[in-house]
Amino acid sequence: MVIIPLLTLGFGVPMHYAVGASLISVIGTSSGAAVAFVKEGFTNMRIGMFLEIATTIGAVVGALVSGILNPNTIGIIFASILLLTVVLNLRGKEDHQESLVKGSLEHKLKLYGTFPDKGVVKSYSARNTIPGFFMMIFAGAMSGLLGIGSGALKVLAMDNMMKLPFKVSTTTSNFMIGVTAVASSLIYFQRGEIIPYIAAPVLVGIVVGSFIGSKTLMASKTKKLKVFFAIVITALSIYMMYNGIANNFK
Amino acid sequence: MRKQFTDIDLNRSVGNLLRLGVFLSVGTAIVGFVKLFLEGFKMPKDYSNLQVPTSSEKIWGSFWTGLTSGQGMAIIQLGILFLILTPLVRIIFALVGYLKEKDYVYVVVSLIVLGIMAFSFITGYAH
Repeated sequence: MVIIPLLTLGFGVPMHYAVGASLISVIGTSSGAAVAFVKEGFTNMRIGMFLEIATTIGAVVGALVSGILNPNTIGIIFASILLLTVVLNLRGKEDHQESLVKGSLEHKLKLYGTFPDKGVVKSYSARNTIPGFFMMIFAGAMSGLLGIGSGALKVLAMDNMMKLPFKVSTTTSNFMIGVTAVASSLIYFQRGEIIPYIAAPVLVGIVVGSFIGSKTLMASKTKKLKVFFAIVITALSIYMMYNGIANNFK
Repeated sequence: MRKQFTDIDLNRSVGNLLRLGVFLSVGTAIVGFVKLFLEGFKMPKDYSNLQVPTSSEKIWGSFWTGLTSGQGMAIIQLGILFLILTPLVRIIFALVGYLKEKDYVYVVVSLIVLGIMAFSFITGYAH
């Protein structure tokens, strides 16, 4: 999420190349992190696969729209989504666990499952699949436009709307991020906006970094870290907003 | 007797596939990057005026010719393409898994997602 501001404002990389590089790193982190979650059994592959229809449609639209937008407009949209993410992350989350309604859409589409919780197998089902699906199209579009995973928007759809358990929504959303980013990167790649020598260092850095992070972050205090990130990201989005309005993006 | 194919088997093979894809991609990209610098490449000081191919035909063309002559730039691109392919292969894995499980609703869902990917590739190519 800090890749785009860093590349554009830090290194003077044009917006579209930064988005292209960011998309590649997003695929890397999603696939890398999904391994553990898929094996632990939290990821619901059916819910993921079904909602990927929505996110990939959105991603294609986002990538195409990006082709006609001015870099400064993209910068301003980026800053707004970043601020929204901060708000969503700081808000307290409610853990859901809904039971399956026989004969419902969720039943027909098998959008339910079980997950291990402290040695007990718990079952859950999705709700409000249709609004959730539309929210996912939006999340996919933002991913394709801004080169981000839009994890926060995906969790919003799955947590708040579809009322999935927290562990299932976070891991499944992470699982979907890779496929979503692929859908738009196919367009960026063929538009010549994935520059090998910009994308590769970002990819290697992110994958190695997230590998180290997953080992060390577990031990550190997450509450303080959350507040710290919120402050950094807020400052960053204000800075991006300013640069977008001042037409500083290339 | 053959064991029935279950969701757990599917999860395991998908997990291994994703890991393999990321390792292969990052490894290839590093090799390509080292090669690129051995060729005497220097990072540009100004990124706003890069000489890069912009039509999809030129991009694929320079990729293939670069790859056959072992150029660092094309090797990095190969690594990036490995990474892009990983989630695609993952969907094909899932599709095969759902076929084995005889879950035809999800066979169709997987096919729709693959169809959107194909659409994206073609739109990107035709732009």
